[in-house]
Amino acid sequence: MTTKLKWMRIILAGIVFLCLSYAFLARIPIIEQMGAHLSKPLLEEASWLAHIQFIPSLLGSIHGVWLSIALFSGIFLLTLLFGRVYCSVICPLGITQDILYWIRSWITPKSWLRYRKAIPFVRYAVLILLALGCIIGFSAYSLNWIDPYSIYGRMMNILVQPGVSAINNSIAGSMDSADIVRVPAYHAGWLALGIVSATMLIVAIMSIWKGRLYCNTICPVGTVLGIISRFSLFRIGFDKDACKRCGKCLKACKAQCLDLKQGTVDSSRCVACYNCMDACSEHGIKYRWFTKVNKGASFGKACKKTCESPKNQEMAIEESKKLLPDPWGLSSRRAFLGTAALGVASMALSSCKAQGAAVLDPTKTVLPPGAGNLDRFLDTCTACQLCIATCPTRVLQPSGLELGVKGFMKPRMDFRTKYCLYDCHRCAEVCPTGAIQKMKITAEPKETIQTKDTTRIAVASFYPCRCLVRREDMDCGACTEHCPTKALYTVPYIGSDGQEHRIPRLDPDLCIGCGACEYACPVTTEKEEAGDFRKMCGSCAESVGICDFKKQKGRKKPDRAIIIRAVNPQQHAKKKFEEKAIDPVGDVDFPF
Amino acid sequence: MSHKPSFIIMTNRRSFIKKTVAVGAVAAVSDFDKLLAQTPAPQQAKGATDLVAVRDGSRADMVKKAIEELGGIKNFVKPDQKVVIKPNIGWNKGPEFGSNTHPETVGAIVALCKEAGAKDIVVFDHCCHDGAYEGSGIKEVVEKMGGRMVTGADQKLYKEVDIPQGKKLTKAQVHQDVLDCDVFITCPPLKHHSGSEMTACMKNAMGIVWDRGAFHKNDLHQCIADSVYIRKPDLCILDAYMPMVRNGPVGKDKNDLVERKTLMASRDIVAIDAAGAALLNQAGKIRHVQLGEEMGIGCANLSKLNIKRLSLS
Repeated sequence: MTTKLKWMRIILAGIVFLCLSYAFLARIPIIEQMGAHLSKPLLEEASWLAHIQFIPSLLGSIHGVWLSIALFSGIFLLTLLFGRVYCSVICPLGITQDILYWIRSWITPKSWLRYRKAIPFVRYAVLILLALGCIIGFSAYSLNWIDPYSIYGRMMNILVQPGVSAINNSIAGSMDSADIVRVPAYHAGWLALGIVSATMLIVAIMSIWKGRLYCNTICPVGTVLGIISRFSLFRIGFDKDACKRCGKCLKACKAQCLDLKQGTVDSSRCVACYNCMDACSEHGIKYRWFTKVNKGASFGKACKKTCESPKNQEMAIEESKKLLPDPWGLSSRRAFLGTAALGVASMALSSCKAQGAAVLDPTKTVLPPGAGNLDRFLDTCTACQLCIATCPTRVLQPSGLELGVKGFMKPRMDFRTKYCLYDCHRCAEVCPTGAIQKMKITAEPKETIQTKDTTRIAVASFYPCRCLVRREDMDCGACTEHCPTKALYTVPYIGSDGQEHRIPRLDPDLCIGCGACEYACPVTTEKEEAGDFRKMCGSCAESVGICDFKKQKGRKKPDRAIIIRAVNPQQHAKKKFEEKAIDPVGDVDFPF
Repeated sequence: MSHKPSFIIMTNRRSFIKKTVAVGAVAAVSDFDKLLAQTPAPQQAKGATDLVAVRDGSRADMVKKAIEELGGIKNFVKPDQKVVIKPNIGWNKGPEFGSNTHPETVGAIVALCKEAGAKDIVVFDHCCHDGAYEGSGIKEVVEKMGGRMVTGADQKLYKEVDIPQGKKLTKAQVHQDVLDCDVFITCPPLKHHSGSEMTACMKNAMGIVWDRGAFHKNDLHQCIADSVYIRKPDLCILDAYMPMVRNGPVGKDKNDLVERKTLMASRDIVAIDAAGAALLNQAGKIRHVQLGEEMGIGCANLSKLNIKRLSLS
């Protein structure tokens, strides 16, 4: 029984960890092929594991997503029943730390962690600071930094994914296959790389040094679940009759929560890993119904050294009683004062809330469809980067400071990399927080609801002064070729050579800002143009209103003939429906 | 025995004499296969079919019939040869939208090549959309029929070649499988195109090149015509079963297609595109087709050609 519990935990955690990691790496061909040989339909849904994460489901619940409400209640009930099973089985960062600690104990089998008193001051201070921050609208700055799932997500996307991609590319180079192909490797930028590495380094050092120290001092999810698990119905406790106080359980505990002297277990710190039960050969530590655990915290006959005198025994009981009725662990004055100070600090911080949106560059702040308005999006997104990791075209990229400090590491569209696929809404399907809202993909005629293909995330501007058709009297049409809505189309145009060409024309009402045209436009500033581009200025009168480039100093020129700018909030665009086409040659069998 | 089939399909006295001469030469030349490959096929003699247009059958039946009329697949593919089939797989769109070659057409061609004993049948395109191989349904059919999909999304697979006959496009990075294949078959669907006005066999050559932007930057029509010189297809098949007549090359929805149930095959890439233009009521108006004729790639004047028109209904 005891061994079974531990192995069940390890197997479940293994499945969760591998499936979630698969979700983050599935776009890399070697991983995808591995998945295809295992169980493709199951793994395709692996991103669903992101939805059962604590902070994402909490955010989803706040935004009224019913699935998230159900899942969040599920996590709550699970913890109330069995303790912090979540931290051992569902939390990917927790599992990562377990793996690191397991490696450490494999290298140095003789060293182990002693029992330590809880440090409630730090954990509650962090939690209260965070809660206060979120209430006063500071969540976009704080929540994403500290949510364990998002920390794990960024580690996968920014540190692991480039590594696996490099392995994939070296394998693909020596293979002649359409399945395992090279993938472009993107560099997220030194700032992102540095910060993600530093965060991971802190977590890794803490876990190698002190097991679940991070989870029990800093992680707000651990703190909240710790509070709930104080009341959990099943919990770990010593069996005073069977326990011989050999200390094997202590050596196996990575949460430093077994107080053998007092015979108590700090259930707020216990992550329900069941290592202690597995280590005990005497069945001296058991996972039982809470009423059986609380009785007789101190040891009877086995308690020789520390509990010899009746006075000591009384004190021990006093101590243990003190612990139990104070679930918040805020009895000490020092902790209270510290927390209050931190709270005040958070209030002060909130006053520097950025004004953001107004100063952002609209060409670099295009959000995925379904993000709604910028502020709502930034408040709800925790920068787990699952959407970036699964975007099939890689148009979604982690932002540097393009979206402001608030938007650091959150997704934005980079139309120089690629563009948003017309009938794809993968980002919304995987988004666990509801930051990218799910929509129906294709609008039918006469439908009034907003769909993915009628959501305007940005809008294109056409600059004829830069268009090759206008400048060099040639046919091109690359932008119109890629335009899925036909907001861009070509019309006949007589060039300066007297020949008829076709020039693009833009209907902004139909444009949804997918970026295909900007990506496809072959105009670049690499090549110096033969003619003076200023002579062309004014050629746009018929299609563009006011040119933004005219206003700039030094008369900068647009670097492509098409530039896309974000609209905030996102809008509901028109969709063009046409009657069935008529055969241009009618009933003639062979018109030649 | 690779030479046998060509003897079986000898149809007239002229080709018989030619073959006899060829066989006579064999005694002196050791490389028998090479000699045969250089000998003009009997159907290319005067009076043979230049272009086959078939109507009203299933795609697979029309492919079979059209190739049969050109002398059969064994006239194009010899045993143990490497065949590259180049459909249009530009877009991640289902077969019903007509943006890509229909999988049935590609499958039928792969099956015929397999039947002819091809050693390696490679299918690829330099796609515009990611996931187009799967989304178009082509990958599944090709692998089922015994062909091999090769990626076109890796620049390392492209080798730079010179195009001495090219006017604007004089250099291009070309997919290595196209460069080292024995037989090259192009099989696009017929579509309207907002930039080049029509996309058919000549335009399909853009998909064997890495840098498509170079085409757009340097006079699209001229570059399309120039790119045909990189590797002239041995067999061109144009799928006009459901041609896209507006909003090309991707199309908005199924309403952009018309039902024509036509398929054409030819050795002459310019002729087949001229016929495609006629189907879109653009005969003589597509500049890259006219340039093809001017440069001597093929014949765009359909009245000069021997066209076989068939209906399978």
